[in-house]
Amino acid sequence: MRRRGESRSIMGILLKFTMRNIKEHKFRTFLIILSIALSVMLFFASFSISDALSAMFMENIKTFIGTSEVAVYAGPMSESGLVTLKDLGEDADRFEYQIGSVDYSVKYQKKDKSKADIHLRGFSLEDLAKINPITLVDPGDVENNFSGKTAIISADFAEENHLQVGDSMKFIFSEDDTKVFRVGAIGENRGYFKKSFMSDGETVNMIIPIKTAQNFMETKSAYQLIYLKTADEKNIEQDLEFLQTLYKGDYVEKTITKGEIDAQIRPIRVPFLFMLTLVVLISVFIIYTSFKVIMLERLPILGTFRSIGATKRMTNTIMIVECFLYGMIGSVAGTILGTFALSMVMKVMVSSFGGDVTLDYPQVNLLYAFLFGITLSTISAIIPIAKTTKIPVKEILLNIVEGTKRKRPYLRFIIAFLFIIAAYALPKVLSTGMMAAASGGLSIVCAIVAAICFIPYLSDMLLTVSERLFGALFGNIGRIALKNLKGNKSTYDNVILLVIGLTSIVTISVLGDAMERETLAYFDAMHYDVSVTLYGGTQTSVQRVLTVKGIDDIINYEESWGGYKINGEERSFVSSAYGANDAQFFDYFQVDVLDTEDDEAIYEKLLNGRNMILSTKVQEKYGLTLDQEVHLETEAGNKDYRIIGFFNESKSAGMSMITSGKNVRHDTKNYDKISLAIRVQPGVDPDMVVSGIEQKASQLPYYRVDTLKQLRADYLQENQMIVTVLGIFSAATAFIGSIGVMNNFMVSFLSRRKSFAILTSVGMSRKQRKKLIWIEAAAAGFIGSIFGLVTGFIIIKMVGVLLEKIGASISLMLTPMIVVGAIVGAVSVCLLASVSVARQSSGISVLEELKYE
Amino acid sequence: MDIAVSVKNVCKNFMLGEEEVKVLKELTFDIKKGEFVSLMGPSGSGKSTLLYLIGGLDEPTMGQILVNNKELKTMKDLEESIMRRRELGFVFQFYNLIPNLNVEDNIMLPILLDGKNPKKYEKDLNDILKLVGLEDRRYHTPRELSGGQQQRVAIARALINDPDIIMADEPIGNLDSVTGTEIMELFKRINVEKNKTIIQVTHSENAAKYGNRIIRLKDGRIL
Ligand SMILES: Nc1ncnc2c1ncn2[C@@H]1O[C@H](COP(=O)(O)OP(=O)(O)OP(=O)(O)O)[C@@H](O)[C@H]1O
Ligand SMILES: [Mg+2]
Repeated sequence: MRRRGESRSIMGILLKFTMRNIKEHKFRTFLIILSIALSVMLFFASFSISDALSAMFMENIKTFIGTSEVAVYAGPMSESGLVTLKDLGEDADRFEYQIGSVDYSVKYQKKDKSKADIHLRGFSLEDLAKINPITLVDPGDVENNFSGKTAIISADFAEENHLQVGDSMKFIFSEDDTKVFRVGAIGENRGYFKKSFMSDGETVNMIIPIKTAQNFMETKSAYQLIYLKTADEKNIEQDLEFLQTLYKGDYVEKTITKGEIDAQIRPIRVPFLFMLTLVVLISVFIIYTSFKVIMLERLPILGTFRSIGATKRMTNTIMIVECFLYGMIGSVAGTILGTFALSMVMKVMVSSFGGDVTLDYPQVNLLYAFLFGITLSTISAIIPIAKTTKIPVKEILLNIVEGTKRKRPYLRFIIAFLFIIAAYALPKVLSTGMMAAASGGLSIVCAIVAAICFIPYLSDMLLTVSERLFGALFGNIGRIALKNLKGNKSTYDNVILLVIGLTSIVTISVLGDAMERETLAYFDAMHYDVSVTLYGGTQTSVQRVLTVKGIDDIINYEESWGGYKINGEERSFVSSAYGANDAQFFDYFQVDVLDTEDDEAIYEKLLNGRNMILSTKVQEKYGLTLDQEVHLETEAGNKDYRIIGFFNESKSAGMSMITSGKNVRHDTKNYDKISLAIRVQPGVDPDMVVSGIEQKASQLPYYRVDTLKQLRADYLQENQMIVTVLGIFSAATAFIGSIGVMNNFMVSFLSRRKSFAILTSVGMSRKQRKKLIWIEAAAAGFIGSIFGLVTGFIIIKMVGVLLEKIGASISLMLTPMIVVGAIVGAVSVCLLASVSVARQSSGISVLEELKYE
Repeated sequence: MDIAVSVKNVCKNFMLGEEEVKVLKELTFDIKKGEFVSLMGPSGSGKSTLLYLIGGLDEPTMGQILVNNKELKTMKDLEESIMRRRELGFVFQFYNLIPNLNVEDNIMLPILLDGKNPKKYEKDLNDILKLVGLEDRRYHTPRELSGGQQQRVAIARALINDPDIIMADEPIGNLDSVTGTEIMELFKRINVEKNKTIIQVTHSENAAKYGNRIIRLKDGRIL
């Protein structure tokens, strides 16, 4: 019994001692917790981002298609452009619902005479409840009587236009057709009424009775669109086949499903996971080095405790409890920060489109993030703890732990080489599909770890080399500074932190730069003003578009992404194939076919069988020659294509392959999508042409009309938002790194007080000491930035290869801006970190430091 | 004969919390150039304190200290530093070498701090390394040397700028007797052959015998 009491009191003292210690090192404690918290935050945000995005996209897509999975609309032979609802018969139970709808695009004349785009969607209330339920905030009496010229409007729209149930609204159906509707009810801003970022947040949906909608048409029992939802999404392919036979001659198409959205969004995860690995690396490193220092500091005291009867178990427990404590606090803080970060990221991503943010993610992610934080801190701290506790008490008390000889000096090299091999081999072994992305990412991480292993050796080498430079620049103090840095653990730690921080920033900024450059080049190559895509359109629709005033010239072309595969391989032969229907195509898209002047002639040749013109990039990739035949796999079977020319893709809107429009149309079975490029007459506002075309296209189930100017701005903005978000993440990484560097400077100052005292005793003046501190800081920053840039450069190259593999090739390069920025940044961080060191250095008691060991 | 160090009415008090401790009480004495003086006395009698006052690493509470006829109190930090570089050499009980600099770099520190070109001192360095017997260790770091060897490095560092006065605080206090004797022989040679003034603090009567004068302190006064 006594022993237990005794051991408890020792534990009590140990605990008190630990608490006091934590209090004494507030900054370090803060740093450890902060790095854990930021890691957890990034973990949570990057882990949840695809879930959250996909949930948000789903929510937004509902504003178009509700919960439907299949849409049926009139086929090319239909004269009315309408479909009639068919009885599903025995197969009715394969579907949750089958709902017909009629839509109208109209203009609403506001009180101030300006006009708003309105999409009137015809549904019965029962059908609406099935496809996209809306809660009514002011139901009026629609539940009893939803008929006639009545519309359900959104709360937002009601508020904006000061409308109440019973008010009337004037809709312009066409120039000479205006109808007055009554506000029947007001619904919550959800479902069809959600402001969607996908429709630019401009078009407003309203619900009108289906009967009313049908009454406006000649064939009153027909619909424009029929929506279906399957009972089981897994069987969707069979269900589609069934529907296709049922609705012979009509188009039966899958709308977007959750699975598809998830697949679309998954790639967004990749850059975030890349950032995450860097953050984890930097956090592990900070926690590890901090605990090394903590252990070294506590060692004599822990030894004393051991000598008076504390067991090894107790001292271990205390240390582990301490690191667990850090993990707990950091993880809780990080999870909270993470939800904020995620909502901020989502806001940034959505803000460029305009629309509302919904934040939705699996709650279990919170738990994962928390566990991640605890694991991270425990694992990073456990090695220093384990290492120290192996040291016998006697040695601790005799204070001979210091000056540990370098055991196993080759271990680092061996580890480094293993990582290099892994970095090299991984992408070779796993090189297909999603595995390629994963192995590519992993190999990048391996490369960074290898670089870190080499840093002590490389730093010393670079320090030796630059001693002359610094000597010439700063005289003998410069020399002493570099000599001091050499063989100094804290220098390595700083360089490593700088390298990880810089690598993340450099990689992200290079990617951002490249994306912007590519986007600009892409649009620079398009010599036209308006881009139109019509789904379910026919030549009649094209004729109709042509009647719009202000159009100067128009071409029709085909476009297919990933439609051609090289036989036997999983990946696409080319990322984008274009089909020309006009010799002017080459002018519209700035394609200069090498060794030909005559666009007409080459176009004639394209029309002649399966001929293609390839980008020089594709030529190099596959080692192709003129007149060679390439066996390609397409939707419509295998086709042999002959190469009749090459073009330089760098100027040509990212095209890889050009053939005739007819070929693309047949090979990709793309019959219902029409792409048009339009030049407007001089002096005409392209926006006017756009709204003209939108009017004409309004019967089509789906269409896109944009000015090139708008598209270009949208693309840039879209890039901007991803780059901004990643930029924030990489800034967070660099921030943790910088704080780590500051901490290191302070820790190393403590151990260097003696050195400063010695230097004073041999005649170093105060001024020289200050100079020494600043030069050391600048040199450490300089070396860190050099290695950071080199590592960043290697990573960029690897990212380039990786992107190429997953089909998005962009050229990445270090710009002088980034190089200068990195050097200035790293040096500034180190100088800043030295401010407190310089200040403290004047307080050194030379005597104290020199008199005692 | 020239005076190397002149101590006049020097007092040194330390504040220990609220209490003022009088460590040195009105000391007055001179040390002539070329003398080899041993400061002796019981632990806590103020030997180290006195030595550091002479070296300008601390300031007296009262009184005057002149080193090579210059008064320390009136000197600026830079002047004092320059004096430490050129006219004084320190040797400590715990060697006090910079651990990550090699032997050569440690020795050359005063030269570097003085803004001189180390190349011009190659010959001096070689001579001194030979004198302290460390020619084959010049690229080793202190960690790789024994205590005696480390102390030789410290002595070499104290000699490199050819100072007039060398001050040593228990230079052999941490060494075994054989090594201690070797170091004392070295000091003796430096005193005789190079005609340097040496002030050493020691607890060993044996070591004190290498010098030609002993100053004994007790309770802050000279006996
Ligand atoms: N910075 C200081 N603050 C307060 N008291 C001090 C300080 N430095 C020295 N002392 C006190 O001054 C007295 C003399 O110290 P000093 O180190 O000079 O003794 P010493 O003679 O060198 O002793 P030893 O032989 O043990 O080295 C001691 O009582 C010591 O406690
Ligand atoms: Mg002493």
